[in-house]
Amino acid sequence: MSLIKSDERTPLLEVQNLKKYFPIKKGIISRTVGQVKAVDGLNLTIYEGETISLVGESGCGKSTTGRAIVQLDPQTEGKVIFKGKELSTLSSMELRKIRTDLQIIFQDPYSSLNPRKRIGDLLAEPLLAHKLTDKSEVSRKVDDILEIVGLSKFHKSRYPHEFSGGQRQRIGIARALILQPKLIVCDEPVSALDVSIQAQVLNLLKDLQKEFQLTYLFIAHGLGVVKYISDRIAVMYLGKIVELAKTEDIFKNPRHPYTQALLHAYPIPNPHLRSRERIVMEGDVPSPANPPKGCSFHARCPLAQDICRSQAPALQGDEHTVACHFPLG
Amino acid sequence: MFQYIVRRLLIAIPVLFGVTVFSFFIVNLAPGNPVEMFVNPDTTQADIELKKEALGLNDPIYVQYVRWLGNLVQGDFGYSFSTYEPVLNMVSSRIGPTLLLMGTALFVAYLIAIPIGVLSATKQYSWLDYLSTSVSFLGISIPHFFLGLGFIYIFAVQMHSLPTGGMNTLGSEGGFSDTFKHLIMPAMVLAAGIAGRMVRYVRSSMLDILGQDYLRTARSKGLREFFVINKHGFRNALIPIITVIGIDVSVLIGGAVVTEQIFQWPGLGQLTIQSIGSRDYPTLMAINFLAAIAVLSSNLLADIFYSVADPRIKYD
Amino acid sequence: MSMANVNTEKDIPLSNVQAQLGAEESYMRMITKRFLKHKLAVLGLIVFCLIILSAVFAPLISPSDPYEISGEFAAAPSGEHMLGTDQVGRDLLSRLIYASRVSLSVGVGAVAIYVVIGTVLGAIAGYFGKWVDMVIMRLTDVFMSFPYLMVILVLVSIMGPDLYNIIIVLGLLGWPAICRIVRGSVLSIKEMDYVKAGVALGYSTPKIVFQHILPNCLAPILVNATFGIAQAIIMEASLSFLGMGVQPPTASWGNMLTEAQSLTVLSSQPWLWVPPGMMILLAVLSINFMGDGLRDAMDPKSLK
Repeated sequence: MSLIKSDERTPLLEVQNLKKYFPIKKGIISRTVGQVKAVDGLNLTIYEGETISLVGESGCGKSTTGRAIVQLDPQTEGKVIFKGKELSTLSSMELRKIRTDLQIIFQDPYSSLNPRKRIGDLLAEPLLAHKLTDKSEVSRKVDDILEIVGLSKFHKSRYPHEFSGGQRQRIGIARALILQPKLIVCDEPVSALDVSIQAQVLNLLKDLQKEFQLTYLFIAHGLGVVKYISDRIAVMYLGKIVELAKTEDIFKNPRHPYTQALLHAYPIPNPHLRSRERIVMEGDVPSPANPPKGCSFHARCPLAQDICRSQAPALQGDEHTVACHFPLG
Repeated sequence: MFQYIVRRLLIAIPVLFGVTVFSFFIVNLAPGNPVEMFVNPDTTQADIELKKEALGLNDPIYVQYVRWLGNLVQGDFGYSFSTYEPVLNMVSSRIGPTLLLMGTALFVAYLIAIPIGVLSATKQYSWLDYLSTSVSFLGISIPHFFLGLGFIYIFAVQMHSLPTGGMNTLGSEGGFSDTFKHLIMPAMVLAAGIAGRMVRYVRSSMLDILGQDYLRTARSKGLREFFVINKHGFRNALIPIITVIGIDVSVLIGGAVVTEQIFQWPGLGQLTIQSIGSRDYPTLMAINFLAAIAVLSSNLLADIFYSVADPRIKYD
Repeated sequence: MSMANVNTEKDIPLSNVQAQLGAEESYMRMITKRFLKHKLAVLGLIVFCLIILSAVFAPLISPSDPYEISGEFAAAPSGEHMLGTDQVGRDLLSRLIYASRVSLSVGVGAVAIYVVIGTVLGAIAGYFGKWVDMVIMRLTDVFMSFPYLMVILVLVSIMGPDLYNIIIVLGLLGWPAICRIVRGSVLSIKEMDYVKAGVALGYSTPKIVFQHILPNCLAPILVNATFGIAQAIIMEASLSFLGMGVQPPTASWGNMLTEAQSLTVLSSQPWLWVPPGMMILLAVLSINFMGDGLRDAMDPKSLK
């Protein structure tokens, strides 16, 4: 989709060695006896105008990464650099200001809207809080944004409980959009919706991207959802990125065994194309409180060798990076 | 669980310290001092100063606090400003009657309230349920003194069947049956509010349980209704009730002040009123402190029982 | 995957039904409807409103001046004095009506003070957590350890027993229950995505706490405050009864009962103490019924 070469692109957001550990507390004085390493050393660069997807199973740390990037649950270690500024070093005033460019859409459209506020107030609030718009203009802007996301200005006086899940998600999108941000973190925005509505919301997101030159970090737990929307896909496993490449490369030439396994979970409509070598994962995701030594995937990988059990592979490659001792393809 | 109990005890320490500071300072920052009580036309300024010095009232307040706390640890609550008796003696002679009154009230209240609450829930929307709901609201809403006066009017003045007050008939030997007669009315007055609240609580707790699936399972297994209610319902419904006991102790102590005053019951409540009248700070501090300890420890016990009784409680 | 147009979804039937119901069909309406179904609560509301009216219009409806000696000492009810006169010869009915002012101002005044204190402290404890929470919660424990009536008696006797001091003392001591409730609600609400959204949108902390979190824990506060008014009225009456409350000649339902501690009054002049006692009972009962109805109406378990 984006045809510009990577060296000409400007990075909008850089994530450097991001770590997010949650302490495990026990005992009389709540000693910290361990850490859940939800995100463990993640690097990611997001370029202006692209859609990059973060894909992985539940508990792999993708949502935690998203929330750390927008500083809802700030990281334990590492840097999030947005528009050249490291977010954790900003004062709360500066952070609040920069948030107008950095928004998030939540997974659950039911808990993400304050049940006590009318839609009109919900959408006007960001504008008023940041004094970005003249008071007389606010109402018109709210009308516009409702129109843009496929609702009507007559919905303004309604409360969230009067809307369906898909409509609520549109309101959530409108709220993120109204500040005209540069980057929107979409935290599984369609996974709580009916399949029939998912496509509508995805299309809306795509249209909005064109219209407002948005950059998306799109978080999802399956490859199917992100195929049509992403420029690049990062596959996450146990707090780390294991493969990162352009969308078509991921689908045509997956190099990490885990990516392959995920692709197998994604149904292929055309039976003639179902010829790929099957990789079947064994067992469950290991606990992030006690990750395995070496490559974190080795316990479930059918191709694992001795080196995989002792040494963690580093991400390698330029355009198509993969963290595996024995990459496929 | 052991860890939870230890943690709970550790938390109680700063609270206990706060309780001592609070009870000491509020009473000591009060205007007026006990020396004024002894002032008559013959006392000279020097006499007053001497008395103040003797009572330690000239020291800085934190010195007085530390001294008080030090003595407290050794069981010395100081001397009463009004009778010069050791506070410990005054208080300890009053603890017995108060405990008797409160214990009886609590026992009677639970004895009446728990079965009524359970019945009320199992026969929801029956006339019995409505009656118990109305009476329990009455119990919660009626002030102790009005109920006490009403009781005296009915049982002592009109029916002459119970004594109006005190703990024993003057000049009599006393004895168990005499004390018991004196105990009935104040204990009932004190029990009314507790019982009313308890009925409401048992009822709603029981209703919650009765709606649970495992009760339907028990019924579908063909267990007799009595077993279903008793074994599966009632026992689980009682667990959340444990937590109310701590609150009840606090309510009881407050209620005892009024009730003892009306029935001239010679307990700590009556002593409180007397001490307020004579500005007897050491005694007031001691009573308040003891009362707070009682509430603190009953809350502590309730929490611990609760953690033992309900395996679902997490200890962090 | 079929790609539908952006502007569809208006045809979802559910939203149409709700549109017909009208946009104003809001939370408050639902609560009101459910409250009105609770008969005793409605009765309580009516009685409570009557008491408020009689307090407000006391000068208009009282048969005579509550401070004026207008008859014999302790006269029994008669045509001239419907409820008789007190021991100094003042009209009892007038005193009863004026006394409702005392009870209501204590109830509302004290509760207003402690709801503010409790809400602010609870919100701070719940939102900021960590050591702030620890300190506030231990302070709450300290305040809750003292038997309410006993410590109030001591404080009022120190500050001097009068109406304003009672309101202040009750207000300063009553907050722990509200504080705990608010803290609990804030703890659960602050994890909701709509609060996180407020943070992500760059709202200030006070705005998030007061506009997005607190309005959503209004229900338990309101229920507790209602019961609190009843509690405060009983407290004032008890204090006044013990002589540590509102002082004569000002009439309070509590201090009107003080005289009944003498056996003569108790046994032979029931008109002196039964009516004020009944008034306390009536006021407290009606408020408690209201609180019960409110609690049922706002119970999240029975809300959809």
